[in-house]
Amino acid sequence: MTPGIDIRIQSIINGLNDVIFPAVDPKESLAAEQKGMIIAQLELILKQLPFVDRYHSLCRDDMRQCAERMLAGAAGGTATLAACEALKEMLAAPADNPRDDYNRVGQAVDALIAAIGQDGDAGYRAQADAIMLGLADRQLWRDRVWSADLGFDPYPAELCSIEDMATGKVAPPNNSGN
Amino acid sequence: MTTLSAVNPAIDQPWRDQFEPFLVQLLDRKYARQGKRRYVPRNAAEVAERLDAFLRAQGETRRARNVRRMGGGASKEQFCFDLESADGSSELMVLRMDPLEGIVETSRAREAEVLDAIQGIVPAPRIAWVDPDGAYMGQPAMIAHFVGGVTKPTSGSGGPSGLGIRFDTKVGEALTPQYVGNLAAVHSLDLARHRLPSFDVPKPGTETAVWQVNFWSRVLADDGIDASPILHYTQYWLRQNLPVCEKPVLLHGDYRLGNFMYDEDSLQMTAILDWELSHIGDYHEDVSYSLEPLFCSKDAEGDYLVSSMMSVDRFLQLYTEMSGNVIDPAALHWYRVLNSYKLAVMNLTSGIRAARDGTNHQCAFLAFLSASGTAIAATLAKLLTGEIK
Repeated sequence: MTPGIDIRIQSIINGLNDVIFPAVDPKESLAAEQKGMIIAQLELILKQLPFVDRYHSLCRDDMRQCAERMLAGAAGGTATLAACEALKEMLAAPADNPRDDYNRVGQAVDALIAAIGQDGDAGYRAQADAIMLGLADRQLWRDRVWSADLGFDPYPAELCSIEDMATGKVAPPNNSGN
Repeated sequence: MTTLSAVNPAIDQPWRDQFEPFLVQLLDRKYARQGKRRYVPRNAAEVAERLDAFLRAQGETRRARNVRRMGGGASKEQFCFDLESADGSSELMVLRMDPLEGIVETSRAREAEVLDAIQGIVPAPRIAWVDPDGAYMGQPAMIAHFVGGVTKPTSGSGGPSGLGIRFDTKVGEALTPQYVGNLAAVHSLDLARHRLPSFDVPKPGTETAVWQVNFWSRVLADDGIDASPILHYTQYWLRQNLPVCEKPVLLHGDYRLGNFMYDEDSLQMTAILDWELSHIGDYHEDVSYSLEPLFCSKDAEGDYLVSSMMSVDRFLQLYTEMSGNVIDPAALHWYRVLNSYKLAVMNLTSGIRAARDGTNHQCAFLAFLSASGTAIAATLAKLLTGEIK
């Protein structure tokens, strides 16, 4: 057995805290300023590690479901219809891992949004608008939970733990109604 | 057959170069050099050597001594040094230098132009020299006369990049009229009288707003790594709801907590800093920037205090009184969305790409700061869903 990734990361944190950082000259401000940020990120990675697959799978599944809904009833000019075709092709050829699949489908969805802005029919535009706003809001909530430990979120009371989000115990709020 | 533009619509969209020509060239140069090499932070000895050569080329007989790195400087490498005369007297100077990439791509020459223009109008650093293309310093750089003051109380705390600063009531009350008055003064600069050769003025109408959407959308398209439904939806929303601006004015572009200094004894502002995002646009853009929650603190009732000084209502009222500019709620809302978009694009695309590619002096910091982009996008979502009016 080799040490798990969690043990390796913890050993790096220990080495940085106990050996490397004390040796940094406090006058070297560039190095000194980054110490806390490096440790905070390594500690966050340790916390995220057990849930990486589930987090990316949740993101991918939501993206794929919304993409399918976006294709239903598509109507518009050549840009919209070409972007729909590209999205269909992406959906038909899943990537090997959920993160890559999320990105590939997501980029095709991004392209469709732009195309709808150019020549999507008014009715379809309203439908896609609602689907996209709902997806954007849910995905953002997951991302906020994922990085909340770094302390920037202005609305922390809206968030849950990474474990509760990744295991589906707490679902994203439905602020957009979609 | 699927076209390339159907997968990545930014590839051949005309808006890719429909914004200020100077900035189009700036981004073109960035993307032409992207991915070719890493950036190694400068050390003081190397900077000192280059400074000597630069100063000699300017005909300067004084020498740079005691070059040392300054703290902070999230987007630029900053050093200070003593400019020493033969008689032993010296003046403290500040060198501000670009890394290869960062959260924003900006021009030192353009920043120096605006700093020259606003001298005597608001307190700001005076520029001594500019190395616009990095011919001497290796990277574009500018050198300013040092200005005393603090960005946050010496007895208090604050997070990175000026976030999390808190003023007590006395300091906040003293700074309030200066903060608003200086913003109003920037917006009242007579553009016909001041020379700003690298700035272009958008035509009255929607061009002011379009230029901003196009600039940041170009950055999103070219620097983005992961799919981002919220950012692409926002771009779409912004284009569908463009506000009209009849009289564009000079904007600071990053007017907020952490970007001004004051004297702790007199409580007088000594300098407005970081003019690199300055451009000519709609005053609602600068006004709404101060409303971003990350640049505010909260009072005892949980209401936001703009730049940890005043309530939102008081800020808007004072601004209207001091500038004579009327606040249009719809335009203010649109520019709040734009500013959230802009800040999220900086931190979630350009910053992450630079951190990944090793083209910045603070890669770990940029990766850390990306969480602020997610936090900013939280407010963006509330603006788009109508939760924040």
